[in-house]
Amino acid sequence: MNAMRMIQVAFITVFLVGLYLVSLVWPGAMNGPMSIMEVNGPVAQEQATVFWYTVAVSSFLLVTVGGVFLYAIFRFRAKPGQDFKVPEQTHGSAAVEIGLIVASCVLLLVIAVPNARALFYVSEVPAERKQEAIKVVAIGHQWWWEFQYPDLGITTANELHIPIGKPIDIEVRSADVLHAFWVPRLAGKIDAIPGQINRMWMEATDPGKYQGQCTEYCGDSHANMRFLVMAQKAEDFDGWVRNEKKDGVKPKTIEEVNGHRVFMSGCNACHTVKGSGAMGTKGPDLSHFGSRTTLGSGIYVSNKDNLTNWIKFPKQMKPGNLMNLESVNMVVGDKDVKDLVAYLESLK
Amino acid sequence: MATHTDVVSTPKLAPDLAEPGMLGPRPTATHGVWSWLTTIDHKRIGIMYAVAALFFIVLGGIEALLMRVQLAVPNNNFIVGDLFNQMFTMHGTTMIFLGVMPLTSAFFNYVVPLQIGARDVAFPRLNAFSLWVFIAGAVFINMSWFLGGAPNGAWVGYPPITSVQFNVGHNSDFWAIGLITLGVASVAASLNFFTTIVNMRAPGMTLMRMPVFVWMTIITNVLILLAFPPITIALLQLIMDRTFGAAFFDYNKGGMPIMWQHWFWVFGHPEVYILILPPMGIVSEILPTFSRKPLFGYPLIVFSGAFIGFMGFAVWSHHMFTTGMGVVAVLAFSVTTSIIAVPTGVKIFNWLGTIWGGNLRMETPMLYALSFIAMFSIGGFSGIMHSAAATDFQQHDTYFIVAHFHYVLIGGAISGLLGGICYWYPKVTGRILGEKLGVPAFWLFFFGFNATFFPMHIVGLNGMPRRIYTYDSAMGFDKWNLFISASAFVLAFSFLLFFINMYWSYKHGEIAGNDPWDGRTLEWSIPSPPPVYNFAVTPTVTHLDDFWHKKQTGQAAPESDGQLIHMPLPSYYPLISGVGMFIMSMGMVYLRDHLVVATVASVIGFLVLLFSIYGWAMEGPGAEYLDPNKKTGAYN
Amino acid sequence: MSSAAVHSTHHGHDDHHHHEEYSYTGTPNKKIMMWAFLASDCMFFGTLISTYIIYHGKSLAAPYPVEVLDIPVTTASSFVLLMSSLLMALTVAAINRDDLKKFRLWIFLTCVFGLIFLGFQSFEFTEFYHQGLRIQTNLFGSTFFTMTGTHGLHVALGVLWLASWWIYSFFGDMRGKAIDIEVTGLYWHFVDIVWIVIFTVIYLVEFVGVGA
Ligand code: HEA
Ligand code: HEA
Ligand code: HEC
Ligand code: CUA
Ligand SMILES: [Cu+2]
Repeated sequence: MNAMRMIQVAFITVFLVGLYLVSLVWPGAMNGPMSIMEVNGPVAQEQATVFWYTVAVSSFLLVTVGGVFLYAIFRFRAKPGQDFKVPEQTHGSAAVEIGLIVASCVLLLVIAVPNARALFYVSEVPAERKQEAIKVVAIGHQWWWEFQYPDLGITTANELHIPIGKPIDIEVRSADVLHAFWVPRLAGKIDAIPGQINRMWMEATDPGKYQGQCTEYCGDSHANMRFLVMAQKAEDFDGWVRNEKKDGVKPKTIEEVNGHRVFMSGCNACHTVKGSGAMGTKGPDLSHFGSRTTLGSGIYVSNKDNLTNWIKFPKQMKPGNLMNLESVNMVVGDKDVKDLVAYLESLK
Repeated sequence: MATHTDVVSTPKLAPDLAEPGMLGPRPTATHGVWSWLTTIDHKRIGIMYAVAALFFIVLGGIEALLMRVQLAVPNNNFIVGDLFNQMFTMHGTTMIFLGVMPLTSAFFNYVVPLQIGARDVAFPRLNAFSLWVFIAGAVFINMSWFLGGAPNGAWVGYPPITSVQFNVGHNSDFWAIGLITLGVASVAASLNFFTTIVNMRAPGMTLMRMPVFVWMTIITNVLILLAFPPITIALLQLIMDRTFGAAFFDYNKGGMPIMWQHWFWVFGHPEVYILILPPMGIVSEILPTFSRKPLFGYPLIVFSGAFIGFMGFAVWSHHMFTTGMGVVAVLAFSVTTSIIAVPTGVKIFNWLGTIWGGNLRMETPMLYALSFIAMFSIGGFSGIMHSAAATDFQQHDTYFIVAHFHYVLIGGAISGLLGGICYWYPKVTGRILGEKLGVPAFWLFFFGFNATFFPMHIVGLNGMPRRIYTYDSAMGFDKWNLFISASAFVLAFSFLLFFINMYWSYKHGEIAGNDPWDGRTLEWSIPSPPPVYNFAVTPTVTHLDDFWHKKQTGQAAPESDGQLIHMPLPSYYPLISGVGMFIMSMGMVYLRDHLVVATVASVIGFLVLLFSIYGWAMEGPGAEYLDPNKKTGAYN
Repeated sequence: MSSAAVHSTHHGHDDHHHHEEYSYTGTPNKKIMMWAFLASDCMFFGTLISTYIIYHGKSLAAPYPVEVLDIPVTTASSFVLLMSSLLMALTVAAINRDDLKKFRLWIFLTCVFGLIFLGFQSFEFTEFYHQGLRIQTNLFGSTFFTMTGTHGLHVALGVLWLASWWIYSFFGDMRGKAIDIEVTGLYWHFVDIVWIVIFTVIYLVEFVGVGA
């Protein structure tokens, strides 16, 4: 009897706690920077809509099947004293079975139809909008993103600028292992696979910074392979493009000049700064690094301290970091680091 | 005269020489460690499977807890980078291959022969072989922790991250070779159970009179037979790539990393049904017993199990929606996947039909079985959410997936298995698993589990990716993760209670008797624990739930007619072959850097294996004759 | 001793022959297990063969299949393997007649034919090796060696198994072993059949390709 009580109380509690959790959480808890529930673009919106269909079907089943289940448990549990009663023996019912099978199929159709529609929509830029689409090539590297705009002749890294209201036609590739390109508020993900080209598209309806992250496990710093999508009004975007097309700013101050000199003594093996003679490709393009807000593929704010540490202790700043100064025999003293930082920050 | 020449010209089938004899003496130990190491009794082997599996579940659980500590707060520094990656790789690998699968195997071993009225499995020594090879593989994979680092390519081991170019250590070698070893154990066991169920059923036990657990066992074993080859070959290809520089997954040579994913999931999806069908079978035993009603829609439960198994091979690409397969393929796999909801639903509905109108006794086995229905359904619903590919593009590789599969794996598989432990514990030990501790342990499990994994849906929908060791505080993941981590310890504590209860009940539990639950199937007709030979007289089956039927119609169990029972003898060779496999695997890991030494080691291992096979063949099954009315025999 | 006498001499503890276990279907356990194993093995080879087909024509470096495959030689070796299946059938027939002498002859020849096949295969492997085809060379090398190597391993194990029976038959008790031989035979036939598929996929397809 006591155990029975406990069970009753417990089930009711579970139910209430569940309800409480859901109601508490639903509106507020899923609006983070990477929420897939509160979105800012038509692709993600379409995907969220299908999700709501699945939620509707599941909730319906949860309530009906769950209701029957709970009712059966309460109604038919052994009452004290009748522990050994043998109830009426039933073996099955064809009508019930068939009915439920048909009902299940119908419920699946409720999901399947919007799912199919959405699939075709999200898989490719709609034909009538192909003209206005901006082409982007996103290449995953351990552990950062390279972004090229083939039609605009721009290469950048870790911060992808896009204009709002335009479809962005993205070609996703990988330079080494598997990665996945994902900006939850704008669109679902697609894998970056070496030797294969995958496509997806997205569009931002509102200007803003959208958090992205690599979601295919890719080694030590998979957790640290983030990026930002900067959705801008058309004018702002055009301004950014004009600036990106330029060469890196020429060093001016004494520090910058020395920074550039140090840069050319090793950093250039891996990094490009357009017009400065540095043409390495193992690491991110730094031509306009000074105008980026983040460092280390989105894991640090780009400021003097972080940059200094990044150059001095790349491995500590990011586990497994492939920025390896020993490989180019570089030992940079404090003064040189300071100048490097000055130089990099000048690259607006 | 003719006969005479015949005999001269045709060599006799039996030699004049003395019998070739065995390569050594047979084991004789009846008590102590050696009796366990050499046993071929399916019941003892089952117990050892269970003990090993529970040990590895604790190990995998501790790995999970370490991860949870790291993830409790943002930007934590407890276990970072590669070590964390080793942790989740080994957690997933351990739980699935060394935890749940062997635990289901424990039930196959202990329960199936009893339920079909057999004296043992078809090949008792092969059965011991499976056990020892499993142990060898399990120990071998975990040796990596001490030999330069555990596997770190996730439990799915996608190349190129597991290719030698990006994984220069031996981490992935241990993983690949270890999984092949475990696969050998699983396939050998499956051959055995398949044959046992086909051929060793008691007279009269037609297919449609088999208990559902036996049905789910044979379906599971067919799945193992058909699903393990693809992954074994893929692992072989990976080893070829890593050890000999082959081109299978090397995109620089035209290989396609994506091929691995197909082979892996052609195995991997049936694998998840390999994990869930046996617990479904267990639940289908518990519910009727504790409702005192026959299983509702028995044939449908059986057919839907088979259909799930069959469909399991047609849906693998739902793990690869985001790999750029093309929209038509995605849609096709999306639809086939969702169809699995129908047969699964059939099971759920029939279980509801079983308890409907019953007289439900809420003892621990029943509590776990009911928890199975509820939690598995929730996990199934999130599965259906993933199967809608358009939205899976968002969910894939987030904690929403992690929530899904822990619901089906813990809320489903583990719930069912714990229920099974509670249910058959009296049969195995002769004592009831205490309810006083058992009921609180269940509720702690139930709440701890939901508190740990329900919020993962929320962080998942809020965008938290899987397999990350750190996250930023601005993402809105922190509070939930702290809550999840705390709850994980509650869940761990519930396991602890469960184990304490098992130990306590073993010493002090209430004596069970043959049939503590008023059971329906044959195992309850014999003493607890059962004698070595299980059935003094092989039962003759006339009905589904035969024992229940006999009880209802007042038929007594047949008395022994004093006939001696023939039982096979224990053997050293299965154990030795396990050792051989272990040495061989060790050698293979180091082929890449010490070709000669490693080859010698592998060959030695192979020779040990070969020796044991010949020894095995020469000694034969052996025989002893036990008198069911006396306490005689090896360990009677 | 007459053979009739031999049959009556075994005692209860002589387990080689006497107690073929009770079986629900009437088919011996060993046979059922072998069939199940072969179903599983089909999946093994299915995976290998599919990999080969998917990667066919995808090699980035020479030598390509047409440049190295020697169809006549392999046709010969395939023929040998096929014939060994026939010999295996004779072996099984002999043991079923309790004709130990013939049994020894046929099983010995089956082994020899298996060995000849393996000889051809090692010849082919070394030949390829000299023509620059290694497992590392290209996809063709990787898939070819892994697939035919796995098959070769099957043949080698089969030969070892058959040879063990042959040797055993000189000093061991063959009574009641017909079923074991039959099971060994099942395995051997399967390995042969798989070879036909492999031969078609690797050699004939290439041959047709060249002709066209
Ligand atoms: C025991 C293990 C188990 C089981 C049983 C299942 C069952 C199911 N799984 Fe799950 N799954 C996993 C273990 C399991 N899964 C694991 C481990 C992963 C992750 C692997 C990794 O990446 O590491 C995974 C991942 C996974 C994915 C990939 C997600 C991704 O990575 O993007 C998908 C996608 O379709 C999926 C779908 C399903 C479906 C549709 C079922 C169905 O079988 C569920 C059917 C059940 C129900 C639907 C509930 C009951 C039914 C009713 C009450 C009837 C009415 C219902 C309807 C009409 C809807 N699973
Ligand atoms: C059956 C399989 C199974 C089981 C039972 C579990 C059980 C648990 N898993 Fe599971 N998990 C997987 C299968 C399983 N998992 C798989 C396949 C993956 C994917 C791996 C990959 O990405 O490659 C995964 C991944 C995974 C992740 C995601 C990691 C990541 O992506 O970064 C997390 C995170 O929280 C997690 C947590 C847990 C927890 C807290 C438990 C708990 O339920 C564990 C509770 C049990 C115990 C703790 C043991 C018993 C404890 C005691 C007896 C007490 C004594 C010890 C102490 C108190 C220290 N698991
Ligand atoms: C061996 C190649 C290599 C060398 C040499 C190298 N880098 Fe890097 N660098 C990288 C790689 C790879 C990354 C990306 C790391 C990551 O985010 O995982 C990187 C990242 C960076 C970043 C951050 C870029 C961004 O957008 O987040 C800066 C700044 C940088 N390097 C500066 C330097 C400077 C200054 C030097 C010389 C002192 C240098 N690098 C030398 C490979 C190199
Ligand atoms: Cu790149 Cu994860
Ligand atoms: Cu799946």
